[in-house]
Amino acid sequence: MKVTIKVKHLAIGVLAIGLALTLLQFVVIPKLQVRAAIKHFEAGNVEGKREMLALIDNAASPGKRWELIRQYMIGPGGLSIANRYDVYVGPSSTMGGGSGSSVRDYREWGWEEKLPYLLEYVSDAPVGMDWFEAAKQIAEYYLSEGRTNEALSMLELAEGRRGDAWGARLKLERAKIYAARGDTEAAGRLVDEMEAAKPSESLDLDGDIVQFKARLLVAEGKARDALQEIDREIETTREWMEAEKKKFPDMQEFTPAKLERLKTFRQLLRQAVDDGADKDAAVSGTVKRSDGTPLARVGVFLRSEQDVNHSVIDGEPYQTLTDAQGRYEFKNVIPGNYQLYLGLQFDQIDGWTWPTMYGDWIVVEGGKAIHQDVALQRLIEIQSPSDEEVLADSKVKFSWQAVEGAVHYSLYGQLPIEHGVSSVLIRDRILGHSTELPVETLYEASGGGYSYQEVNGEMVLETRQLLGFADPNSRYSWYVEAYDERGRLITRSNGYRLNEDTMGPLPFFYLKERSLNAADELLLSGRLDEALAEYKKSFEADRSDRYSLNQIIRILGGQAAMARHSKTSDEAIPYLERMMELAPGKSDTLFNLFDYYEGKRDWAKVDTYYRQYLSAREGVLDGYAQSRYATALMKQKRLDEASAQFREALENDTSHRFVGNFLAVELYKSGSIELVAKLAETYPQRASYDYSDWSRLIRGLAQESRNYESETYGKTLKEALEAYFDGNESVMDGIRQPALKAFVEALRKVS
Amino acid sequence: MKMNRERERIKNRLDEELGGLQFGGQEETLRRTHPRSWRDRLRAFWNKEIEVSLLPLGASLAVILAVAAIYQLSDAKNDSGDTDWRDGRQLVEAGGNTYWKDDYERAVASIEGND
Repeated sequence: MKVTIKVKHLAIGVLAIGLALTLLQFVVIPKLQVRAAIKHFEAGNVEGKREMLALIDNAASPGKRWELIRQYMIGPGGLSIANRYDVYVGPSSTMGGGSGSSVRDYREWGWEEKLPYLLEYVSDAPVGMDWFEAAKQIAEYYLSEGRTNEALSMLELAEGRRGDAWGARLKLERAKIYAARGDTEAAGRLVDEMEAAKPSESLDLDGDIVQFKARLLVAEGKARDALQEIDREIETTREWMEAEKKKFPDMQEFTPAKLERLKTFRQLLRQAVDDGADKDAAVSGTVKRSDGTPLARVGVFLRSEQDVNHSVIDGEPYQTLTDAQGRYEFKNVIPGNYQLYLGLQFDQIDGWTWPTMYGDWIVVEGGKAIHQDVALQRLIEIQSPSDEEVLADSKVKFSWQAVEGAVHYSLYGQLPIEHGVSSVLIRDRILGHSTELPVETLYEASGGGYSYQEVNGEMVLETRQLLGFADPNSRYSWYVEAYDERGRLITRSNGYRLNEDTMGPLPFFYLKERSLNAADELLLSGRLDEALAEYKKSFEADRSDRYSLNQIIRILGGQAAMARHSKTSDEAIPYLERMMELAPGKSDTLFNLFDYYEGKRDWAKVDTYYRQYLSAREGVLDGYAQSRYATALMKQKRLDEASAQFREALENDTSHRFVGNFLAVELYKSGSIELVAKLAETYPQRASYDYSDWSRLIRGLAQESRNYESETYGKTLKEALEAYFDGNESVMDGIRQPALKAFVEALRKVS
Repeated sequence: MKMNRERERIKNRLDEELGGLQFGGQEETLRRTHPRSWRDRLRAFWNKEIEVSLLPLGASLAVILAVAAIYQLSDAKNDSGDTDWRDGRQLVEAGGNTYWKDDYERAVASIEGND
């Protein structure tokens, strides 16, 4: 077949194809390559990195080049160490950080690959957030390599490019490095320069500068000046807010983050000044795995009492990274109580855990250098039951890998409830790395708390939790914790398990030793009252039916908790007492009875049940139970005994939640405010929901006492304390001396 | 005779009708039929009609397309090779542990498959 065409048509056709090819070659294919390179890079391919480098090197324009460096090397804007990690772990909480996959890209670069590009970015790219971030990252890198001077000169050079707020930010970074080196003079000089250049256009920056300056002042022993400095800045910020409000009357109420941070910092400083701290301190240490491998570039956060109740944020003053040897150091730390937190990447925590405990505080005293090492420990491998094993015998055996140095283990079960899971202590103080338990132990294990769910707009008890481990259809799981002879957590079996080697067997099992009875079915369908009646019927028919009896106690306990009564209702007592006959050594039942009679001030029974509880626990006490007993002794005015018990309990319970009662006892016994002030300093109560600053309250008493004849005030004090011991509310309400009233009010909140 | 007259009449008529028209394209026509200058020759070549056989043209186009397609396909194959390792993975908390969701689901499926 042939077609006839003119030469000119042929030529035009060839030209058109040629043009199209050119377009493809020089526009479409490069675009596709960029996309492919980005895709490969984001997928973590090895050649993806090479492609990305080629892409950056051959970028069509400087703008494009900066954009690629910004996006794929520096990372999303403002990824400071307070929000770049996958996981943040500390004594009070473990939190997932970023989404993981989206913040990973820029981390894949080794520093030798990344450094020349970032340096170029800092020296030539447009100034802004990313520019600052790049400079900061380079400085962090140099510091972690011990190349402090290079960090300083790089920052100074970059700073020279801009005299505005961005430049000032870099100056602050430089000042921080000088301070960390112990060169407070150089740091102070830079602060002066920054202050001379004020006002900057950034509120946060001004706040950071003042905070930094205050720390330097404390280092020079001028804590009071530091406080004044902070107060002045708070005042300035308030004035600024007023002015803004006048300018924009329609604007909504707001508090700048700077003000919040300054206030928190002020609290810290105030406390230090009140406690007479006139020197700063240093906190340093290493972060390693238990096998000695140092962990580099881990985020380390020294967090004050005021800060530990929220997640890690940028404005907190003590944040740093570990160097290649895993070392970290904080200088110019204001005396106070702190907790250490770590920021870790998934690959650092995967298969490992940091066994920090709820009450772990670092008490920082002025002029001291505190050393605090962190060792991540391997997760315990569980053995059985695992992988959804079905347990159907009257005994259940749990076993796990032995942990070196472990003296005892605690075994926890987890049951699925409506929203999430509920953790229940099954058995503590297990001596070996396995335990065989009667299945009843699981049925009767209780978490001590109850959860609620909403049904038709009404809050009711979560019935699946009430059934506990007695549902043969539920998939349960378990974990175990290992403790040393001092009761310190060594490691645990639950944690991050993110690859084949660390996943191990799944800790799930089914318990099919029993089948659901009529009462259980009622409970599961949410008919709580009918279920309770059915359990009672079963129990009346057979008064040794421990299962039904336990369910009755659990439901009554839940109902009492729901009605916000004391934990134990009158109705439950005969059942609890019957349980004591059937299972004499059951410690939670004994504690329930102790608790009930303590509320009734039936001291004979309180003593009996506490003694039985003690022997059921084989003499091993937790601080809470002992403090409760000491409180009971205090109410009976058996003050010497109470004092001894409190002292022991305060050593075991580092939260010192009952310290108020101890102070009341000592104050009543000795009448010496001075002595009690010392005790309040020795056992400070840790930040918590009902937190009281006892040192301050006692200082208030001391001040108030000066207005009275010492005998008169002493007598008033004793009367007030006696009213507190006796629970005499009308006398307590009638106290007129403000400081004494505040002290007694704080005592009434002790629980 | 009669025919002559007829012819004359037609000629007269034609003359009359075409009287307003004059042929001025002699030169142009001559240039086209007998190009002399290089420009004219180029133009002649430009408008030359050629016959093209569809078979080799189609065949070569097909070859080009095939090569492009193979290239693209091999590229796509490379793409799908490694991309699944971390992108868009979700974490899941189960049994007190934190797993990658896909790993966890695979493990559970393999356990339940064995039962």
